[in-house]
Amino acid sequence: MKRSGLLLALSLLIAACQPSQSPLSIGLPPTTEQAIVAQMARHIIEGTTNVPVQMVKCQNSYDCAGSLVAKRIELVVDYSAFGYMFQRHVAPTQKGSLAEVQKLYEPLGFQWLDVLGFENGYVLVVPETKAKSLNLQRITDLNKLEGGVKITSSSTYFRQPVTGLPALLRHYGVRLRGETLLIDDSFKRLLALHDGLADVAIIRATDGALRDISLTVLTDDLDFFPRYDAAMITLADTMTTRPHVVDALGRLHGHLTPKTMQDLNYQVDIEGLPPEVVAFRFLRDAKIVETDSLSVSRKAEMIIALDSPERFGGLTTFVVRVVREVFPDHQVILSKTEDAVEAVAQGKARLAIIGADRFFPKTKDQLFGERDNRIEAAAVLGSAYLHLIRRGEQETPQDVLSGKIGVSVSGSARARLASMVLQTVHKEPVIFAKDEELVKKLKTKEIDGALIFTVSGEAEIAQAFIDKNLTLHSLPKELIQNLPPYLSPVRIPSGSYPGQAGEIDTVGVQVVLAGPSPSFAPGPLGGGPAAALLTQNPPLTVEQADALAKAIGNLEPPDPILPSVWVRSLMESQETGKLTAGQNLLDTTLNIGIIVFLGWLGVLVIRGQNS
Amino acid sequence: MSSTTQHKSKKRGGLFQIALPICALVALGGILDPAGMASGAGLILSTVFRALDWFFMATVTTLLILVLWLAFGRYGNIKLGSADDKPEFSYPSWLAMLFAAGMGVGLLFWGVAEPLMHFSGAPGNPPGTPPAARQAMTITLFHWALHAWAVYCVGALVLAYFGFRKGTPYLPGAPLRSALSGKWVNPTAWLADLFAVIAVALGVAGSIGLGVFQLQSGLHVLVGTDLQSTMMTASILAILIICYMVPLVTDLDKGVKWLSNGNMIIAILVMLFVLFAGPTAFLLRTFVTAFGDYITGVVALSFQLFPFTDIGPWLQNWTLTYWFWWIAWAPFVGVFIARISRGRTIREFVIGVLFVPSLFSVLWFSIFGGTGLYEELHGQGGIVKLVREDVSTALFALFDRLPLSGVLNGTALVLSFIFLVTSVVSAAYVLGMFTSQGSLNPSVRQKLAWGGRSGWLGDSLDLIRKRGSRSYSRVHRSHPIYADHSASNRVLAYRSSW
Repeated sequence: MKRSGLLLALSLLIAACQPSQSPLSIGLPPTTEQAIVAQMARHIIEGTTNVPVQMVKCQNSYDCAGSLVAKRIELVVDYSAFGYMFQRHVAPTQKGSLAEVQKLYEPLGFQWLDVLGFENGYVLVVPETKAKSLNLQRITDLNKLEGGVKITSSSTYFRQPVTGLPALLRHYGVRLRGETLLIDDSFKRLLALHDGLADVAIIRATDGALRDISLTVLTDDLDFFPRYDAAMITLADTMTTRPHVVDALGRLHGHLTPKTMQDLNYQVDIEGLPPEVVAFRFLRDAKIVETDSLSVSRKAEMIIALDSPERFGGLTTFVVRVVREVFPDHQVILSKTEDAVEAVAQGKARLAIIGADRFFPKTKDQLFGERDNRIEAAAVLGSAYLHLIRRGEQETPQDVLSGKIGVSVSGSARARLASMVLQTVHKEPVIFAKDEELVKKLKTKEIDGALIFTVSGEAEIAQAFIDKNLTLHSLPKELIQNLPPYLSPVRIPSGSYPGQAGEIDTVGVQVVLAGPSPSFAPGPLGGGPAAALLTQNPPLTVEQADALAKAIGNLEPPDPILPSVWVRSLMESQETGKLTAGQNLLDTTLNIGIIVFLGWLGVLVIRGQNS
Repeated sequence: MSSTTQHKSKKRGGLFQIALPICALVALGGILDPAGMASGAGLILSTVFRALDWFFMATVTTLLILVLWLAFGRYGNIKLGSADDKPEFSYPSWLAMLFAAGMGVGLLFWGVAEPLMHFSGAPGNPPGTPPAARQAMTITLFHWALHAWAVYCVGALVLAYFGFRKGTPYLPGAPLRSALSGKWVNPTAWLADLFAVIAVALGVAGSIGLGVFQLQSGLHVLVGTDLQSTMMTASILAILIICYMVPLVTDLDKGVKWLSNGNMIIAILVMLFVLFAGPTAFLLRTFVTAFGDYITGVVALSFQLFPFTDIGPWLQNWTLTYWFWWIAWAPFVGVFIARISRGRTIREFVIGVLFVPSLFSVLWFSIFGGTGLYEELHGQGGIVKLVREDVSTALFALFDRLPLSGVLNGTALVLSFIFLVTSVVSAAYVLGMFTSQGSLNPSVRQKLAWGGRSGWLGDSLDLIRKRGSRSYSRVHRSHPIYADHSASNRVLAYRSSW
């Protein structure tokens, strides 16, 4: 009786120690979007069922498919066109829709789940400026490019059978110029595009880098690309043995759109968050799962502030990526704020994208101001030039600032700067508007001139000159000499704009990445609990500033009148640590005081013992 | 007060009327000119530390030697009380109350943060390496174990000895009045009381500031509130002030005691959870190693000021700052320890006050700091980066790596809040007692006044951190230089033209 009781107890103990369910393996491809959705699946299954999940890394979609067939994994995220081509090795019929592959795979023991609801196919993109100047709207328009087309693509798409790059080129009869530039990082592909290393980039439609960058997507006018409906594929066995898992995954239905995926991809590829964190936050915010049982690693945030009215276009995405390279353990977030300088000074942001003028807030005379030492320049992004644009009249007027002058959007630093320039000659802007609107109003003669701070070669202005209706003018020499020190005289070379014959003398303002200044940091900065409490937003080190400059690809130093990391480091290196005479005297006095105090204590003790 | 001893003291008034305005001025300065206040305080501190670092180190080390000598020498059997006084509390109760006296928001705040900061930046070993980890634990324990408790022990011992054997009130200056004579004694004793009041008031303000930061970080982690919002900081401070003001005006002493004990139990449970949910074997190994390293290294560390190297500033910023804090807190902690220790011998007292909380500190830092170090050395890493950005996130960053992180983070928030409330209530009581000539029942008016001042002072510390005001310097205009920016503008042109 005792023995059987013992045996029973032992078997119960063994049974209790067995895991309740075998883990469900999910394939984890290296592409960002598939990784995010795979992590969503993991969080949903772990959060709503008692099934443990195991993530299995795959090299690529083919590897994942192979693992699924070999039953090393039970669930994977893929796209319908891939699924079709993997089976049939030909281009999909009926455009590779999800319904088609579902029918194709069902007899093979796989189930394509219809829970995701978005498509993510390949697109060809060109810079907007190029698209406008060459009128590139469709893929067939690429044949206008003389000498052929230089393409940049991922190696996966380059080698993709059936509907990859070779098939695309054959379908459209596009001639290649030189070798295809293979870059797997989509953001670096776009950088190559804008560095002029390629004419066209092939990326996925929901790529995060597309969010803020102005690119023209060429229409697939000859209907080449099949549908890439995103879906989860699972084994038919899993459908039978774990129906609750499949039901749980249905929670995603209706929540994912191409725009949503683009935002999520942006958070991973540009801001640097891990896919599991992005997935987790999305599910939490959409209330798809409860979050108590989920643990996710936290990353320090590096916030880059930008004044709300400013428009930097794709520069912001570039800056976020660059900062992430220098601070790989941080999630980098761009934050539009009312006052970027205040945000850094108050510790709400670590960096700000600002013009040099922001170091000099206005005073009453609105020309010069004391320098704001709460921030310091860390890296130079470039310069914005003041473009004085007038209609293409026969003769240049004597006063190039005569008539009605418009400036950029009200509240923006560019508008403030342009207004300040006008005030130097006792004028005021008559209108505040976006750059493209100013150009329109110039053409319709509502204004006579526009003062626009922008980078050389900006698309809207380039387009205006292409129309041959507008001309760029130099600023008067006397005006240039009377402007504040942060506006440096510059010369725009001839030919910078279509039809621009001569050089243009104007002024430019540096656009910098600025960080908090240590001169404003209270208390001891050498470390210690007091410093740790008081200093929340530490200034950048010289090494970090150097790394930023290298990553940006611009080693130009900040304007000498700006406080900067390099000036600070130079001053710090000159400090010898030797005390001044005054400090020595003070230290000696304090020590004499303490020694006298100790002597007095000693006398008290001796007196006390004697009494 | 011993019934057999009559204490003659010359009553000196005016402490409340002088100490309160001084603290109010400091608070006002911090609110109106946070940068100026911080710069000024920083300048004074750095000057004093630079000139008198030897004095502070020698003083604290001497206090440690003194209490050990008192305990294990011929004075060890002296009872803190009259001959027939029995200990008021049993050993377990007494030890538990010693734990409670020593446990506070500081342990929560620095438990993870300090070892990791030393791991990534203390001089002596390459940061991020195993030797750096070992050294980090030793340095941390050097700051939080025997030396800290020796300071409290001396403060408490003096108050207890004179209070129970000579019948003096629990005032820092009272022992001076009792033991010494002369015209200078009373003014000096009065100054001692004044400095103690200011030190406790500023010390508790530091705790408030520290606790508010941690609460704001915790709320950000738990529910996603704005980490940098001044409004959020003010709201947390306001709720805190209301919560600690209520017990000051009502008879909620027992409730506060119950909260404090409950908080301590929860803190210990959290510690045990981290021990068993984390890398248990590693943590216990860390405990034994850290204990051994500390015991073998404490003598050398106690006299080390690095005069021949350039890491003197590091030592001043860390070690001496802590000595300063412990000395400032000694009157406050000392009063409580003294009051619960009637009937103990000096030997019992020192062993209990010095060694037991120190051992607990070793355990606490081994578990929390050890888990952080484990994550850095063998886990996902990344906590050091977070701590370097914002110290107040350390505990929450660690809890994110453990199971039931949401529960842990919420518990940490509650712990911080309750520790803060109970500390401020106690501090207001002690300050009221000090400024009413040692009365064990200070008036509600006095307690409220000190509670309010503490809130102001905490607010000024928060503002210093937020850096609210501007500072400018005039720049002379330089000659314009014509420059061709075309090359450097390439980057901006390409990027912006997208």
